[in-house]
Amino acid sequence: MATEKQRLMRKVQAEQFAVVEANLYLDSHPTCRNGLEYFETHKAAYEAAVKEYEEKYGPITLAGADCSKRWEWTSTPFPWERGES
Amino acid sequence: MDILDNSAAKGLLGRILDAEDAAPCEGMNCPMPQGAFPKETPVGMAYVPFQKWEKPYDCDAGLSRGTIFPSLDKPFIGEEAVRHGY
Repeated sequence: MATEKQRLMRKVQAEQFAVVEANLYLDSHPTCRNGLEYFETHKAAYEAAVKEYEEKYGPITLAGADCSKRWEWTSTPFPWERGES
Repeated sequence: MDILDNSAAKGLLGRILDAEDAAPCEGMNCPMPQGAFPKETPVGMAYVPFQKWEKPYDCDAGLSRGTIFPSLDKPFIGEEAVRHGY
């Protein structure tokens, strides 16, 4: 059974994939209202999913590393530390 | 028996050649229709139909299928992925 962490990561991946698909479609359909709205919606959903994940489980990308108190990037588990992810 | 006529056993090419808006060549009673493209379309080139927006998959399903667009979801599984369609 997927852990909450895995479920949230899957959401990040699915939303990111939707954004990439919208990007590819919009490259050839730059004024398509449906495509533009889809992009907006899923970009926002992607950013929200990343924010939620990073608040709970640490940074996904360097940009997400909270460095207010300590350099979180190397203190949270790496993806290959199986026990963790 | 006109080979273009047995509409029952029409394959993909047969259906394209029979496209309703096909108009025979001007002035000649030539059986070969013009096909579905505008008159000024150069011959001898390949054309891809332009994709239209459609209701996408839910994005989790899209991630699994490798596309959010149902019409692009064509897994090459060694058989006709889209039944009776092309």
